[in-house]
Amino acid sequence: MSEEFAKFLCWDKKNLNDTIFDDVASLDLDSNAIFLAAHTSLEISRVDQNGRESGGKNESDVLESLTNAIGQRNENTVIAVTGQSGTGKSHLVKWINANLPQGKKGIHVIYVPRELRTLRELIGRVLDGLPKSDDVEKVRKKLDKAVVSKKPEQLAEELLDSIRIIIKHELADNKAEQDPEIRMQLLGRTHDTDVSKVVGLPDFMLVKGVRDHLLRKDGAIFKIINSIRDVREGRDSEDPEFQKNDLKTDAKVHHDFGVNSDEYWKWNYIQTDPEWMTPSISILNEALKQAFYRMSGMNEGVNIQSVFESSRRQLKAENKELVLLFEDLAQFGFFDGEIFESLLLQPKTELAAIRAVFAITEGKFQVLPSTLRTRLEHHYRIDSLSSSESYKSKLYEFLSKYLNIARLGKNRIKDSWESSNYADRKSGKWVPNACLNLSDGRECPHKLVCWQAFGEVDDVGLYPYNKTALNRAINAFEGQITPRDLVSSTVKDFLADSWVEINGGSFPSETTRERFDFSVNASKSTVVPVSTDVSEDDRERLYRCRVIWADGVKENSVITQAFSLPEAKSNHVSDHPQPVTKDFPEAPEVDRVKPKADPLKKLYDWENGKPLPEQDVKDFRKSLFSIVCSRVESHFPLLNFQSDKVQILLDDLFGELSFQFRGEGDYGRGSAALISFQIFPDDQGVNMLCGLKWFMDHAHWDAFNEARNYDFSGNVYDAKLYFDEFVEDCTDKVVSSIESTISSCPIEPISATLAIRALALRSLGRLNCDQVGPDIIDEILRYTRESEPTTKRSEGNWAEVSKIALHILDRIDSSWVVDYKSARQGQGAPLAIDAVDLYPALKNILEDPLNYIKSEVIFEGAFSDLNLGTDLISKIDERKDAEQQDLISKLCILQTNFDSPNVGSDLREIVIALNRAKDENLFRPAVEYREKFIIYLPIIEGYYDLDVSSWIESLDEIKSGDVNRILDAQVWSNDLIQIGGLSVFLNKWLDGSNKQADDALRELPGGNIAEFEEKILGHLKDISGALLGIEGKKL
Amino acid sequence: MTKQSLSEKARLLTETISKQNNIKNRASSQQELERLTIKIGQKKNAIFTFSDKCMSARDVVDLSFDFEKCIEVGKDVNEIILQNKEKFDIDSIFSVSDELDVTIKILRDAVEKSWERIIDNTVKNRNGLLDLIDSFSQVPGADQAASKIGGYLEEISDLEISGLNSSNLTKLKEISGKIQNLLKDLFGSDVSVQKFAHSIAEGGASIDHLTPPVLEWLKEKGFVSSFKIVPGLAHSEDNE
Repeated sequence: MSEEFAKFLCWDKKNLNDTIFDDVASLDLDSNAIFLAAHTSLEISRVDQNGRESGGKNESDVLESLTNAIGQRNENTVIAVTGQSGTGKSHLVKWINANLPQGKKGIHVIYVPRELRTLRELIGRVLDGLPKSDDVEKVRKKLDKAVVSKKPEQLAEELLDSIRIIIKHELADNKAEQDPEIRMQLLGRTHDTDVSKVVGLPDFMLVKGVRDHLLRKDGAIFKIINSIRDVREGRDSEDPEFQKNDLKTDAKVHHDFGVNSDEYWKWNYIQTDPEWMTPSISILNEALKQAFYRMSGMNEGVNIQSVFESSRRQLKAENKELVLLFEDLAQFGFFDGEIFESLLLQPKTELAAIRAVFAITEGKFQVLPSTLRTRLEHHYRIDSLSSSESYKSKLYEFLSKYLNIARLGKNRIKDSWESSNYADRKSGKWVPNACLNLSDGRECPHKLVCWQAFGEVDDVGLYPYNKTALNRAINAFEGQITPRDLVSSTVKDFLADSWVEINGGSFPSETTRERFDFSVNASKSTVVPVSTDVSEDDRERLYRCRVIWADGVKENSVITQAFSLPEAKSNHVSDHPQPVTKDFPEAPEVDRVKPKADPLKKLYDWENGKPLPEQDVKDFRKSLFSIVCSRVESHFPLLNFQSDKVQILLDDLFGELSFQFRGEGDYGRGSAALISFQIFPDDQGVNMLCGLKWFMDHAHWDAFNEARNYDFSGNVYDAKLYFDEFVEDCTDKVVSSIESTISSCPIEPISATLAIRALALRSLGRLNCDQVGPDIIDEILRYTRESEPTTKRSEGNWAEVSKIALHILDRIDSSWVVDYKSARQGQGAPLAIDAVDLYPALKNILEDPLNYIKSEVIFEGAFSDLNLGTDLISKIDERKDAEQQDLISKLCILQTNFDSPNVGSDLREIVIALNRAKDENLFRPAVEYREKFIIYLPIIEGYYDLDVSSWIESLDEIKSGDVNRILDAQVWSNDLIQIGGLSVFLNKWLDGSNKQADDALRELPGGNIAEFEEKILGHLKDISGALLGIEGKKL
Repeated sequence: MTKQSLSEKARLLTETISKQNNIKNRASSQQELERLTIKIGQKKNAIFTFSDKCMSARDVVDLSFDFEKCIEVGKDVNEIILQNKEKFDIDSIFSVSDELDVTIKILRDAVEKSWERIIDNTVKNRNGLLDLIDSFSQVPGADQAASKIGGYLEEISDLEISGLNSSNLTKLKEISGKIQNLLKDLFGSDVSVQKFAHSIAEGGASIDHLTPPVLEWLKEKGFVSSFKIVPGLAHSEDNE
């Protein structure tokens, strides 16, 4: 190995601009030698009229197609070369120009390269190429007069006015695929003879705000003007034309129109409605080409087409044919129609035949006039280079030629070309080899070690690439590669950057790294383990080198030396998985399908700046969350982590999104309240995730297990350590956070739960037990919202107390105690509730309910529901006086309504009386018997056994105002209220029925029965007399 | 005013309803008695009417009906009167009421039969008269008298339907007198003429009937051309 090889540079950065041209269009016209030295045969297909392709062609086939036609036929020959941008179309046309037989008689060649940067230059080049004539000069002067002698602002104004006039008066009323009505409106026309004027685009183009906007410097009109006079924008760029933003004006433009005027609304439509905006743009562009042509003065007198015709006539007289080579037909832009017409005009007897080869992008080819496309003699398509293996050798050849000419320099290439003979030129031998001949006949002194370490292609050394690096450079394109991209990025820019970096000892830098596919099947710590011997910068450089030049393994020592990399003795890259350590648990045999790709590679890519796939991040988060949760659970034996309550507590603190992935990519952020664990794409993060991934896929740590899904590309032991440390750290933080949340509660939350439920139950009159002990806890926990048969006290002053109490029973159910205070076996049902420490709070709230929880006490987070206790106490305090008065009042009424405390007995008597009244049709109001009495009867019957002695006895205690007595009274207050309510009805029915009975009694008829009895007997006496009289008469 | 408890109001209601029911029961009895009084009164009137008619008819014709039954009922009624003077028993009244219906029927039947007999006794052989006036209604000179007699016979039929009463009885006597007068004007008092007329009414008289008073009567009345002699047996001969 030669010591001088360190920082060896076999190219000169200064020469690169002279030798490496990423766009052949920008190649000097006198640089054919360089162009030819770099030439690599292209992959070309021929396309027939039906669009079918036949591959395997090359540039010679295109040249033959052209030359074979010359002098053979009296018809034009037009050959199109198409392809995507950067595939080498211009290169091919340039090559044809360079390889046309020199001095061939009978042809007149006009070669129009693409480096011509203005339309004026372009047309000028065509005019220059034509035989000199007066017409040619006239056209040149006319063009100059039209576009050069005027200021751009003047040209823009003229173009705009011309467009306006064409829209107003010349465009057709109808156009396919445009709404005829909208088009007419936009043209400012109407078929309606009753309408004198329609406001259209021509009118808007006179409005100052609109006009100023259209004439702005970055608008379509100025771009069009610049395309004639100044530099065209970019390669294969579109001709400038009107876009939506040319009509999107500021809101203040509306001020130029009267509010609600036709102008106002129509301009509003154009601004906001695509049905108006789209045809507006289309109409402007429709008028543009014609207006441009008019502005250039080509619409009258001699023009490009006529000068072509006269030139062809002249050439015919000289017995010549016109050969046209256009590197980009589309660049003729607004004049392309004239060119097309000329190509289509057949020679007949008076004109010279045209033999034309033009290049054009695929997209623009498709919009050429069909008259031209269908009359093509040949159509060749240049295929994109591919990064697939079949193209690799081609790419190597292509790149090696450029590496060679970069080393040779422009002058040496030109000298060699000029001094070479035809045979060498034809065979390509004229191009010197920089590795084999340093211009003095000696080969490069480093050739041997260089070629061994970096490799060669066709005797051209690949330094500073090697094939691994070259492949990675090609793979970095991820898809279609164009020669332009390769030359620009892979050769010119790379050689320029690497020249500086190698020289400065910083190679390969981060910038250089970005030119390569940087995927690797090992973590950085595996590729370059952390070492105190190597600085972090050098470690990074070494890492980049090993990945790019050695696929992640240790690089060749020549490379170490050439790139001035550190002699990292501790560098260690294992080729095999590490032996299993004894402290790893044995995992069960699992039958798994072995994946083709190393699943850890995504993590290495992430370490190298690529985003992690979203699904992988989700899976990692899910697994980490699950693992940490299971460890957290072991710290809280009395908490049921399967319960919703504990989950809420946990969710407020910790979730899958607690694991924050950093580096490239957006992986989402959790709530700011969540504990956050940062995972960076560094040694720690990548190793931890590698460990996690391995464990997720295997559930064991045995890297040698035969059933493993893949080989662990690194040290599984290190990964496990990182993983364990990370999980333990997370667990500790989550545990600490849970403890802190619980301890920060103003009152121990579970005893508060029990006390609040007890108070809620007392408020509803549902707590019978009053002795602190297991029974009362059982009663408090047993009661559910569903236990409440009817909604108690839904009206009146205690209603709001009841409402809060019921809400408490809903929200703060027994699960709070069960889930936080129960011992259980695994995930099973609770075995016992640890209740002893709950008694004091319970005792307090039973004895002094209003002072148990102070109003300023606030529970937060998962325990915020416990604040309902404060709400309840406040409401009881607020309502207790009114409730006291209510109870006293109702008890007094009860005493008045019923003769004795045995209210049930009285109720029976009342019901019997009312039913009798109903039977006698005396129940009043009669309609309420069915509508109310029958409905209330079951409730009344429910009180048949009621004795209110205890209620009456408590009256004095209630009068004392003791809130405990008021709460006690809730056990029967509902009945008291209900009976009070029923009494109102009973009273009403009894009064009504009594009145009706009195009235009916008064209305009954009087009469004397004895009188009738006497009458009957009198009749009978008469009858008797009559009958016995018969007897007498007979006698 | 002391407020009543609900229990007190219930008790008051119950008492009022009981009172009302009592009154209602009495009123019901009174209505029944009233209806019975009317009914018995009506029966009394019927008995009085029919017994009076019976007594009236007895002056004209012999009556035969169940006097014993009527007297028996009269006694029963007397008995009931005595019983009810002590304590009124409406059921006993209902039972005697049915007996009265039997009595009324007996008396009504007796009246109807006696009237029929009075008519037959007053205008004898009403059917023979009908045949005679039917025959002579075609005979010129006799036709008017025959027609009047026919009209009187119809009036008698109407009286028969109308039933016995003093007015009808008077009318019957008047009509009967008128018929007798007309017959006397038409046929005179000779018996042979009356026989001849009856024979003609029965289908034809024989030569033997043409007695001199008959021939004289035929001439006097101008009936000579009204009759003719035809071979065959006369109606009177058929019967012989």
